[in-house]
Amino acid sequence: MKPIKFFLVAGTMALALSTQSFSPAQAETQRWTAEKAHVWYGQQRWLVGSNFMPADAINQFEMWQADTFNPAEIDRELGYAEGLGMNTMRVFLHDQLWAQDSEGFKKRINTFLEIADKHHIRPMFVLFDSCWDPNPVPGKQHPPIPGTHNSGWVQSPGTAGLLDEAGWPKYEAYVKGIVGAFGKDKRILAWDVWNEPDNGGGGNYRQLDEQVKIAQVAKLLPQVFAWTRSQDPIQPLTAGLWHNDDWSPTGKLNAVERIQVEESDIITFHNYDWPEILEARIKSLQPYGRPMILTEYMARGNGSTFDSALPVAYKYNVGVINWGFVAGKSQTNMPWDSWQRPYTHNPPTLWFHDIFYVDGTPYRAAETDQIKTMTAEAEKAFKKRR
Amino acid sequence: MKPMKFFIATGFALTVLAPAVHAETARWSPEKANAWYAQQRWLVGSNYINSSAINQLEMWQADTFNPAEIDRELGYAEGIGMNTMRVFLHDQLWAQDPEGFKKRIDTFLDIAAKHHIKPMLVLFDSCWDPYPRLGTQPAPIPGVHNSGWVQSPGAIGLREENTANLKAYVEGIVGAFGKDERILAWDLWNEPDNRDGQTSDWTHEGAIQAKDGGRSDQDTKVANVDRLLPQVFAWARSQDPIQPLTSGVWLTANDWSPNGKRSVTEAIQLDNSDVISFHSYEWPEGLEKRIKMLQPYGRPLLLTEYMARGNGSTFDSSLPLGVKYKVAMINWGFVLGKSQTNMPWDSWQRPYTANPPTLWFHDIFYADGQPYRKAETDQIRDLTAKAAAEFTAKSGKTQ
Repeated sequence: MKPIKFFLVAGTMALALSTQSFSPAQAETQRWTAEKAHVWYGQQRWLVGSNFMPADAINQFEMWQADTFNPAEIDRELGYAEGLGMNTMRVFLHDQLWAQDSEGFKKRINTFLEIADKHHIRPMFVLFDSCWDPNPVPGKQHPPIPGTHNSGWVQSPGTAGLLDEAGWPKYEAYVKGIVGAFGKDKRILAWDVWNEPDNGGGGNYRQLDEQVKIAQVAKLLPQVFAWTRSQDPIQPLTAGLWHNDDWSPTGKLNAVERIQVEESDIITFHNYDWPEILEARIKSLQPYGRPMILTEYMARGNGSTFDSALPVAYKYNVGVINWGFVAGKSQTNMPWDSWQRPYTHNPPTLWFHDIFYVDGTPYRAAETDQIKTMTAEAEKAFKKRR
Repeated sequence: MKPMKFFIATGFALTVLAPAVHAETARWSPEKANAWYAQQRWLVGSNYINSSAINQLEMWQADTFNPAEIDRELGYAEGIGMNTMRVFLHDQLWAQDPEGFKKRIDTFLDIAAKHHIKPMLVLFDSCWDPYPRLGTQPAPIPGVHNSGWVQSPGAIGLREENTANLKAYVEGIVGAFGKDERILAWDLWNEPDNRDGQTSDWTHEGAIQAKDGGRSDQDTKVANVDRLLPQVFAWARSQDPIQPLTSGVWLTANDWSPNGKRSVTEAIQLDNSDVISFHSYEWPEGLEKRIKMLQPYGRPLLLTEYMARGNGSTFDSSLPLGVKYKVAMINWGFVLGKSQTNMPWDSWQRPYTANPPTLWFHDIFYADGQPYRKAETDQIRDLTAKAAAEFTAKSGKTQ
């Protein structure tokens, strides 16, 4: 085991303090220039990976808490990813894990990074998330709701945390603590500071009024970017676009989306649609002139498949991170409509997300063959280029 | 047409030779079949029922036959370069009014010819409601896939005592249209050994009439099919049609290759068909596997059912395989209508009443001619235009 690396950032911060004026939305260090972002992207092989949650965890708490953190399971599953030539994984953290046990959490993140590194995988970490259960409670997690998609996933910070502005210094401590600890760690690819920040939440939960949520996120998100930048990370920052019709610079972006595109070093986005729509999304984002990573895609029952999405992404040099890796307690092989119609009597016609059974058998060999072939091709092209 | 259910092969003898078939005229040689196929532009079409009809009876009966609607909808097909449509007839329509039925078929063929479409006509079908009844048809069950489609001849019609009626139907229809250039081919029996489709509704009028408690025995059904199907081929051939005959294999659990473990029904289908037809609602690698399994027969291949978006079978991935292997491509579902085949198969267990399905399962167009997904109609139009150009260059013909 490598010791956890801590880096002295005070010097950098002092420098930043002396050269910049402050506003809450302004970072202590600057957003990367497009050139810097492209230089960084040029050093990466085509990025291919999945959103990752080990099969035995229903959510971020169960993945990371001391009682249920399972390095052996993670090791085995990341081995499947390495076998496909994947070189990244998008992995969700949680603010309450920091509040609960910051030192232990850092240690477990370090363990995770050790395992990932062994498998040549550099994860993208996600700090906050606006999806699913708005009332996250650490400790023992409930079992999955039968036949239901992602039935235990929790928001971070969630409704109460978003409303309690006096408590936001907690999030500053979390962000600065995590990014301070790992901001110079080469084993990490990037920071996705907030997943689908303006998502109403979904599921059958009683969610915060959407306009209130957007207003609160619009206040907090710039600070999250600023707190992250204050640690002068070597990795790029991002927060991905995922809905609304027009993402182009001249499009009607809401307040949250505007912050996302203006603060992100690299542009990330989600798309679960037919390939022609994916292509249109890519074209709408190209004018930003920054590297692009598709951080969520692949919903077989919604027209988004590896078959059609991977060639489009490769053509436009867009990194790809699909939703769902091993079918497990998150049950993301169930379709979205399982929240209305749980698949209890009969399984869904197709697995909605996910690539592998827990034993490493692919759901569909044609897909894993395709991913292997395309990552091998990318590897060759990358070696040639370098 | 239906989800394949895995079933125990009880009483389902495998690797049995097909019974000898005594057709008055011989099965086409592979050479003749391939020569016929070479005269066709790449065949692309849909399984077709007009949108205001819930089933074959509503499509064809005098009261509800709707030439204006058929004309409009076949116009959509012509607009994307389709040159065939697979269309289902029914034995009871013949029994009801043979002259009127022939007249309406003739009207249909006129409309189709106007749109440069040569339909493949289907005579019998083993799918869905086993108790077809003439007259007014039921309204669709809300949110349910193909909720009114009827079998032909169905549980009662399959009985031995009805054989003469079926013979009269086949000889009557093929006799009347067997020399008609407006027709592409005869699909004699759709999914003949499909064991699904029994009703669980014991109060169903047909079930009461059948006195079988609403559940026609599926082994009896397949035994009757195996008895009748060779005769159906023979009756059709007795009329010496200019069009090829076929009946398509569809059970993807089975190995359809010449040396495969074919069921009795499959052996009859594959050994009597002039052109080989088959169904595949699978991912493209599954479709490709099926094609390779059937290539050794050395006959033209017609995929007469495919395209179930929510099952991994899409135009996107299937059509290029059709081009590559020169396979005719006839998808399920054309205009969204009373058959509601935009609903997934699992809508039978879970009707989509509160929320629509995530994707349309089958079907291409809304009733007003708007495509469900423009990328698909663009793709079909592009590929058929390319095929037409190649065909014209090769043959000097436009169709």
